[in-house]
Amino acid sequence: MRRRSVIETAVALVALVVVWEVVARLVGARFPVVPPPSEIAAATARSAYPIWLNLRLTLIEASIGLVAGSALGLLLAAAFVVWPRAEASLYNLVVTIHSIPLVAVAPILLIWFGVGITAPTIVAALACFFPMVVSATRGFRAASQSSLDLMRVLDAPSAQSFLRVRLPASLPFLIAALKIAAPAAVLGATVGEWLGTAGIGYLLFSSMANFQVALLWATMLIAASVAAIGYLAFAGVEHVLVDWHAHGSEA
Amino acid sequence: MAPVTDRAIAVANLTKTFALRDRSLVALSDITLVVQPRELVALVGPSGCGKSTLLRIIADLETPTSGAVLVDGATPEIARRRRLLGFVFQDPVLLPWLDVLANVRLPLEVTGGRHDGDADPDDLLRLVGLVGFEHARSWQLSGGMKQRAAIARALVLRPKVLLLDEPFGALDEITRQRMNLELLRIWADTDTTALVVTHSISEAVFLADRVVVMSARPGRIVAEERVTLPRPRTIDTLASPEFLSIVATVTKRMYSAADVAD
Repeated sequence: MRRRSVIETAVALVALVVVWEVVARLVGARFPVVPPPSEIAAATARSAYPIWLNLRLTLIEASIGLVAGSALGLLLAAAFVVWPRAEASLYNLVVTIHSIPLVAVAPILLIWFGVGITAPTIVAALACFFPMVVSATRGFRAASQSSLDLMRVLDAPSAQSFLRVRLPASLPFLIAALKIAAPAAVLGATVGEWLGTAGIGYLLFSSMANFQVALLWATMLIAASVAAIGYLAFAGVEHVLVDWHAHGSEA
Repeated sequence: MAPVTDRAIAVANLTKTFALRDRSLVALSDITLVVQPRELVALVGPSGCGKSTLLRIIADLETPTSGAVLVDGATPEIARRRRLLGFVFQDPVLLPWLDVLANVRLPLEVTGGRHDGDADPDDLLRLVGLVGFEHARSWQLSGGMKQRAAIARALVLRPKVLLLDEPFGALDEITRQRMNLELLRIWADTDTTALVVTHSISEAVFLADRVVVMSARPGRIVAEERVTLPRPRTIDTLASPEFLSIVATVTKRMYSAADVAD
């Protein structure tokens, strides 16, 4: 982002918080569902330690899920590219699995693996798996025929052609998948914790059940921020690593 | 005619058929062609006459249906493995994640570093007029500059045979003419054999020692014309009566062959 748009975004955010504070205070008594930002901040400060403990757990689950789900997606995409027949038979299955809502998968996994980090981690991994399969399958085919011809004329071994052409050509697609997968992992882990005993998802559920509205908002905003940071981190990687992609593909 | 080993390229009775869904398409029919070492031959013909396919077969990017091809006395596959061939595609095919120098160095990297006999990439950039653009990326270059870089890359392993597939086809007329002059200068400086595919008769005559005229459906050689214009050729060559008369002859032979076909 350019400096000017950063400033504009910051100004808009501050304005939003100020308006929110004023409006929430004016209608607060009749509409306690939306507490003013100052109360949310106070709840955050009050519960900083438990929030941190739960957040840490969610981050661990989301990270493992992101790595495992993306890695599996990458492997399956590689298999699709090496054996196109596998794609013909498995692609629809992958889409079917993806169309099962994660909230439906979570209770099954919870019964299966019990309370702990396993079920949320698997939900996080599932959330990352699909975007990676779709994107990486396209990415591994993104290298132009002429760039592969070029490697053939040079009699490049397939490992060289993969490292020097196919992999770099696929990077924009892999990073795009990670930009989607990183927030999805946080959301997936949160959904997986919903019925558990710890984590951001649990904290959301328990503060809802106890009508701790300010804490509920605090937790939600923190979960959203972490998801956004995940996205922005990979957007940063993209900016540095695939600067060429913004200028049109291979030329 | 039996291919002889001291020829740079020898193609004998080559046929290429593509299998389509319900029928087969004869792309090349009974092609016989010899290119001598250090000769510059232009293959000219309408689109769809299989001239690019012929070039790709010589480069071992396609396999012939029947017939024989020898490059420097070896099969295309062996010639490719010995890296005797340089190929310039119609698109420059610069890898956008590498700068100009790294693109030119790519063949050296792939073959594990610069060996004796390989060219100095910096010398080549000087030869093609890209000094100062070593660290530019492909999107920062004009079409002509990209193709200059592609030519430098094709020359870095000092190939015996340079194959150029409509190298300037995507460039405007003015840039194209300048690039043709550059190509002649580079070719004269490097002692390579060159086979250039083009659909422009005047370009073919301007560049080549010999123009081979192809006709479409099926792709076959219908005429050959030796170009006796003196070298070095310059912009003045384009206006000379000899040049115009050879262009006229080649044009006539191409169209009379087309009439017979249709």
